[in-house]
Amino acid sequence: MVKFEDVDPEMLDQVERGWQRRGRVSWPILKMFLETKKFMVKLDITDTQRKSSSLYSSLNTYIKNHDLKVKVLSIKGDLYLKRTDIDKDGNPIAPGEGDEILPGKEPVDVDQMVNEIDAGKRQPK
Amino acid sequence: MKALVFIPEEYNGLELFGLVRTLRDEGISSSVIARRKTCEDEVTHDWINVHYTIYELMDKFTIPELMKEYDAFIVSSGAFNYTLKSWTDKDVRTLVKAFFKEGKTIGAICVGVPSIQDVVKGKKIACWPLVQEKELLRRAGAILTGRSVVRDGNVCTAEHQMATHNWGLAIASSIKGEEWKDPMVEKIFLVDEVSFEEGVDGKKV
Repeated sequence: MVKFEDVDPEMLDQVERGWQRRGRVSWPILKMFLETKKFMVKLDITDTQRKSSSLYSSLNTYIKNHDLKVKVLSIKGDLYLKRTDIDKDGNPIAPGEGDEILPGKEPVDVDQMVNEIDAGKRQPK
Repeated sequence: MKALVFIPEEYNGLELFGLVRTLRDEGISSSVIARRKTCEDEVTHDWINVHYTIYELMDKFTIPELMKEYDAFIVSSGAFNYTLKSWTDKDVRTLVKAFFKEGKTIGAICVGVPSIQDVVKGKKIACWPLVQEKELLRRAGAILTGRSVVRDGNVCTAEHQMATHNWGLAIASSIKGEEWKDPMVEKIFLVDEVSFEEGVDGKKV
């Protein structure tokens, strides 16, 4: 059985902040990266006791879950962090601008796609 | 130049070895002390001198003798339950106060920062964002910042294990009496303080 007790109003703010768990790996790395104000950095992960692939996965998940404007890149086993809200010169980029559009991954116009399917020009997947 | 490093029973290896290696690269040797001998045996290494537990150290040497031998006292952290003990450990706090009084360098990291609560009044510090820890340090008169590493005078503190290298550099500069520029933040937060609640650029990370 549990009882539900009212929370002291003075404690509300503290409790709210207290439950927000910060990780010991991804959060410190990303926070320090944002502190640098650099566009891109290469990570020296020798002392982290983590494999590059494992750290890549952790960082990527953290970035997605917290909707950070950062991208983690893995090139030849080396990890790079890149900010997506500023350009190389440190100028802010408006949301949506500067996003990489890979061939075959262009944004889809849904209305046009539906019309094409209706007209028999395109088969639904 | 020598530094005296205190570690809790279940110490954080990344912080301890990262710190000792950084200090060694800066020409500063380290002696590690803990409460238990077994713990010290684990960290014995060619480049780390381990001779005493903290109790043996306090029994065998007087404070003035320690002052002659060491230039800094540093509290590393580890598992919370064990690090918590160092917050109230009489010997640790005695050493912190004695070293600070002599103008020697004081260092602490992560959840080990409250161990130096007696010397943080009016000092800017970094600490792990734990409600309990923040409250204790605020009551002790510390100015909490949201930075990863902070050096205020001869007190060097770091927020988390990933900042160990920069923290070590800050401690080394303090021991050598050199000016320290935080390589991470010099471009952004020159003097202005970042409030803890605001985090980086007003965003919670």
